[in-house]
Amino acid sequence: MLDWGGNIEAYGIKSLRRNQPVGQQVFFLNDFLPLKHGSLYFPCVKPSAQFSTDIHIFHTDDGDWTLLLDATEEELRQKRLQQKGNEVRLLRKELERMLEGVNKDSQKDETGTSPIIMFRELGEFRDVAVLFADIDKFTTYSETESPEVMLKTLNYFLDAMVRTITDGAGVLDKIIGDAVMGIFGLTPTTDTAADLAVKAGIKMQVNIAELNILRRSTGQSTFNISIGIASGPVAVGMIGAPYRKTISAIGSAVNIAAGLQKQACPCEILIDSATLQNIREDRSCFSKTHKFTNKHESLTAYSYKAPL
Amino acid sequence: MIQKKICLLGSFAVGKTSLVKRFIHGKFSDKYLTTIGVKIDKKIVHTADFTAKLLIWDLAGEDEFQKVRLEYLRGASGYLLVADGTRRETLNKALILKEGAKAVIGKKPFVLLLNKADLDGKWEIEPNLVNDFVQKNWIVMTTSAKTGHGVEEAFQILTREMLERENN
Repeated sequence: MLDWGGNIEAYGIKSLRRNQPVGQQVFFLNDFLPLKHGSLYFPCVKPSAQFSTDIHIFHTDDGDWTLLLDATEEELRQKRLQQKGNEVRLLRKELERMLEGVNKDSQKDETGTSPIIMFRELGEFRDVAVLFADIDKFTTYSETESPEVMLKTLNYFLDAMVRTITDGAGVLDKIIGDAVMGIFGLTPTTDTAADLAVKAGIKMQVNIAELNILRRSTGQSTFNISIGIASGPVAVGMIGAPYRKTISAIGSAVNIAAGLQKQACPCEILIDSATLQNIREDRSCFSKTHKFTNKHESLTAYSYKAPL
Repeated sequence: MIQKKICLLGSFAVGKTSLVKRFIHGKFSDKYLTTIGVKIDKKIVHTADFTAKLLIWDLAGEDEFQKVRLEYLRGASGYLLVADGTRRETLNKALILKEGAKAVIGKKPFVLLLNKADLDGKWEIEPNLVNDFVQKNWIVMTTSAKTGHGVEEAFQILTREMLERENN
């Protein structure tokens, strides 16, 4: 280190002395030297709050070589990715907990930590986007297969659909047979509820297409899904018995989303005009289609067709 | 002064960094910040019987995509195995990591910490499971980095175990 140098003080290494064990002078190398053979690599070691270093140690006939590389930038980059991923996983856990009714007191958390999803347990109006997704022709399939095979297949597809909702910052409202209903706009995010729901819808179509490729390659049945999305104010609250409560939304956006899903073809997403208006990103992938009727009211629907 | 390297091992977001922060600085923050690689801190532990300098290696937590690099454990005299009492699956992960640690540094003293004791309304670890560990002569403690409950004791107990092991 003394001969080859570099800016070793930047790594907190000061007053190195020759012919003294390096481990005693550089505490974070203490347990790794001497190395009898091979090499060691320790990424992103932070011996102090100021810097992060990658440590490479390798053995040669001339002795052990140690290379310290500044990893401060790399640590920041990884942190950004990792942080997001872990937050999503924690959020998913929190949602699963709510669905199981275990977290019945989270709305009035006595520990002072703020719950991730906040609304009055008694109910309140919230502007949300509601997504319905249904597996096409699953009922027919279920009549031809044994219950074991049918349930395995159903859970396989539902898992992909539910995860897309929760990973996309949505909340699973319910599973109804081979259909799922998700609500977007309840968790704090910078995207609009419509953006989140549409992104999740498109991602869901992609995920299902990928599952089908896998299943086709092993000779298993494949399925397509149809999706309906509608936006607007709905009443959100906890419904159920005291020990078995789930989050639920009630309002005309729920009915419209369900109606749109029923009219959507396999691989298609139909959205209402309120959702289209609230998409901040590219709207051009949606084309105006037919009118459809909801409670005697004629509405325009916009269609997105997933590439087959 | 005797110097000992210890490591904190566990799944992601179980509170390893918060435990170290509470132990060293007496502080706590609710904000979750993931650790990349390893952070090293130092603290001198005094009790009536001994004084020792701890080098505390706070390893990045394990998750679906990132395995813990157990090579960081080289030279460690003991470790704190941390699980989140409100996430049952983190206990399984801790048990797997314990086996990994044994492969790298052999049988060394450890203390199993069930952290986040302040969130007892969300607790997912059944008492009979803890009894099983106690019957195996493991040291199991509940801790809370938030309130400080059990934190100082956990580090002291591990240090005592390591020094006793050395003296025997």
